[in-house]
Amino acid sequence: MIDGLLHGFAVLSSWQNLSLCLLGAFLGTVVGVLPGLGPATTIALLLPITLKLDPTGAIILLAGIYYGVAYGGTLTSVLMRIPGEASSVVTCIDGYEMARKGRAGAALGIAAIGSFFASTVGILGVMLLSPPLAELVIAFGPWEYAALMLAGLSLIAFFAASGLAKAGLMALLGLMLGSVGLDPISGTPRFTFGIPELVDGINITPLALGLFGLSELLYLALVKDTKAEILRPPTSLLGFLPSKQEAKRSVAPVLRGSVLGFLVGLLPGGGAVLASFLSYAVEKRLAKRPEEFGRGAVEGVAGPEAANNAGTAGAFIPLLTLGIPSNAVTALLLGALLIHGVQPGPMILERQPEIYWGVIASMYLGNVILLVLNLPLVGLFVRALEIPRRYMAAAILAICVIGVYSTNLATFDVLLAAGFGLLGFALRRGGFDLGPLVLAYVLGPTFERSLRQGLLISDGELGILLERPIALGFILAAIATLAAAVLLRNRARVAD
Amino acid sequence: MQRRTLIATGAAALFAPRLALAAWPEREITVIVQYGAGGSTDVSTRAIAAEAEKILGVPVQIVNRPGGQGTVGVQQIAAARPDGYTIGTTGLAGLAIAPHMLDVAYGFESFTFLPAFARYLYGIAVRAESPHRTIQDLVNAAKARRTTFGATGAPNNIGMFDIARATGARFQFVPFGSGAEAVTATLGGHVDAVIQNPPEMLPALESGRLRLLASASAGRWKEYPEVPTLREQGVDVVVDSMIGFIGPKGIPQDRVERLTSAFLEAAQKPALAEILGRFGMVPSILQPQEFERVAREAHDRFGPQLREAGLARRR
Amino acid sequence: MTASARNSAKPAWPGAVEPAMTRTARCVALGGVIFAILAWREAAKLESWGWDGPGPGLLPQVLAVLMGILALAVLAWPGDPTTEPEGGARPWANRTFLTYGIAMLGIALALPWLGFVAPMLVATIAMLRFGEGTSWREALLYGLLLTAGIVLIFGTALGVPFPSGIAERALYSLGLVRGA
Repeated sequence: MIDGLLHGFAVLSSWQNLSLCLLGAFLGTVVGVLPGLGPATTIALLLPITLKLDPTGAIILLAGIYYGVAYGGTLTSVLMRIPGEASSVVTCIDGYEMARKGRAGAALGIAAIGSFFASTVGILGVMLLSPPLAELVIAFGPWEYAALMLAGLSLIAFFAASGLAKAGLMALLGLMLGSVGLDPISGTPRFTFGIPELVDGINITPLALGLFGLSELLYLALVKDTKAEILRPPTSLLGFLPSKQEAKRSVAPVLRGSVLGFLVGLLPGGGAVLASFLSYAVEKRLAKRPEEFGRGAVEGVAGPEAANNAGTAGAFIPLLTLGIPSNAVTALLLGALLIHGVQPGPMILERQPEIYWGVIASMYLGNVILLVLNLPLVGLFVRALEIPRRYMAAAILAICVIGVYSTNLATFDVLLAAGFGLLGFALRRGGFDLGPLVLAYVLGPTFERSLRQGLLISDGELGILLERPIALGFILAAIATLAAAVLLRNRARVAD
Repeated sequence: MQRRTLIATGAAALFAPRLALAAWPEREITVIVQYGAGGSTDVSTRAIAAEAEKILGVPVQIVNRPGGQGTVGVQQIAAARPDGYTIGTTGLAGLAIAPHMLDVAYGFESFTFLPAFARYLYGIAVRAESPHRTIQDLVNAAKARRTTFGATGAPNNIGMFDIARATGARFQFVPFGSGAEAVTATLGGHVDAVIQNPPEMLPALESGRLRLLASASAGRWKEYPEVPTLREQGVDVVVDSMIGFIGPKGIPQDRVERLTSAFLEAAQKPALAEILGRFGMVPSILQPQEFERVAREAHDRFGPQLREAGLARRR
Repeated sequence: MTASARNSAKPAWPGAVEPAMTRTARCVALGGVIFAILAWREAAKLESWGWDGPGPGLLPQVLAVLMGILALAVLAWPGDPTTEPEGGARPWANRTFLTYGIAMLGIALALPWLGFVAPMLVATIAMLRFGEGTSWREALLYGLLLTAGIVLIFGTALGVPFPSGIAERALYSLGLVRGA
């Protein structure tokens, strides 16, 4: 193992690979910062260029973009309430509130340090635990996924700051939006109204950028130009860093988020997104002051940000050890490897150890680069908050429009995003939580698909669940979560 | 969408100097790919475009237009200006399968067919723990009890339905979102068998966790020359799909001929075979008329079969 | 809802107008009811039970019914009016809000026909001049700066194809952006 790692660093020590690692991490940060322009789009854009590189260099560059994005996505979430990536949606909730209280630097600092720690945990996990965890991925069949998604959906109860009926309504809306497009089993078009752009479903980019980014634009118009005053960006360098108390409160969430994110990130389908939401729910449940959540709780930034970075590393395990991509980005990485004649899978360690260890070593180095790149920049980025509203608003609009368009080159998506912007504005004024909507939107399709696959396999029998301990465990967890949420709510009401 | 393309290409044509036709093509050719970058359709198109560039003497640029299960890109090809400068690639998915599932604004009469250059390979496999060694074992098991198989969709599943019809076995199709998911479910024993392409199956096959029972294509896989095809094992079924070039209807005949000869020449380059092999494809040249005939036949055959399986939209 | 939430639900900053939260919530709930009815009508066309298990229509139909019920519940109990104080009053009478809204919708509608650059320029100028009351000069200058910045970062540096429009065609020929 140590030999392997040393070999990896030897591979990395060429000038070319070193600069590719740096370039990848930098590009990833930029791409993460720019909303809509996700890692999948960027890797797709860069794929033809990487053909000119050797396989190791190409994969180091592309992997750099992939994990760099997990860092960059936080920035616009905290500063502008525009989720840079789907996995940063949760960060919009408390990160942006922290920024409104003048703690943007602390939020970004915690996120960067938490991300670094979580990525390191993730990489160690990839190195040490790959084979047994790969077995876990295989043990997950349709029933297990359906049960896991159910458990994930039950977390909505913890996002229900505005009351269960309102949160439930939002979750249903999310599920409904998720069901647009082709039915996952029969391929029948649902809610497509003959619009070809809707056949593939509603993309997360117009949804997230509309609900969060464009609605913020409309919302900004209503607050008197007092924003800069509220924000009071600190003037000294130390002011950007988290305070001692904030740092102390973040330690446990980062630890929990790292482990949680790593495990959930292994699994196909929205791993990093689910991980961030899961971490948020757990932190809210465990927090001494849960009422601070949604009003700028540092735990609500530290946990999810650690979780989504650890999840990013976790997704490499099925790719490298089984040759199975667990999300759209790792699928592209797989394509890139295949173009270069590298077949990822269990044999990669024997056949092309320089690729395997090169990637691992580049992940270590990339994360150091990212921390060094991100921390000093926090001070610079926080200055963005001093930009007057009139300049900020137009910039939000421009970035959201081109970001949404660039994902699928579909002008229809931009129209959709504008609609979501209006919806998000109305929902916010009506006191609805957007968390349940996004969570249900992400998990719903996988839940339906897995459930129906399971029913096809078992020929409609539900009794098969009793033979599947993992699935049963998740279902019990879901029931326990809901019960706990209802009981705690009642107790709070009695105390009231 | 359509209108935008018309405006764009219309304006482009306006600016293009009108010179003698003999010098055609005189500017870059755009090839629309119906899926995103990095997939087998995209990579194979890029590979042959790189070869064709040298033959045609102008840049051949790739534009990915994913969406609508690959129909958005095909729709754009149909709506492009028929000057030969905008063409695209497609397989059976866009021409013979999607029209049965979705309302599409194109038909065979919307296109000028150009050559096809590659075929996909298919294989049927079970996990290592499974008792089945040959396709006959699997069929016998499926005669005794309902047997599940994972696949992404047509034409893979139609191949299994064909086997079921030919042998009287009971196969239950379980659709998965990607080939990788179907293979993973097979490894975990969640479904009994899988019918997919080599790229998804090779890692598991090489590590011995998955066992190839048969090549479902006309020929054997080069990685597993000892595994016979379905035909060789007495089941007269071949799963076939190809990728080829199409353009909008009405491209002038001399330009069609120029493009055809260029792509036919490019398709024979060894560098292309190398890249195709990595994505589980084999070079296989079909003349334009032949490509159109195969696609039309597949279209007519798949319709009733998909409807029978409850997978096509009702008319 | 909870005691603690109620206590901490002070306006986020001084001077914020107490919002008409319940009214908006009721409007949203009403929209939810209408949405649920329309969704039901659409979902009812789909098969709810196929030959091999639940059909494509089952989930949407269940969702539509549940959504209708919950929307009615929210209509009846729109929640604690003091939670989530957001935004000022009467957006429809606010000039800035209207300008921003029109700019957003305008770009979305103009994009397929006019491309990105020209509508963005017009929208930025409108947002600054009419929404914020800056001078024409400032609006024009910032509009040009912002649009050029976006074109250079997204189009030139990152190679994102832009939708075709009047201005884009000139940029294509300059090699600054790629065509879609």
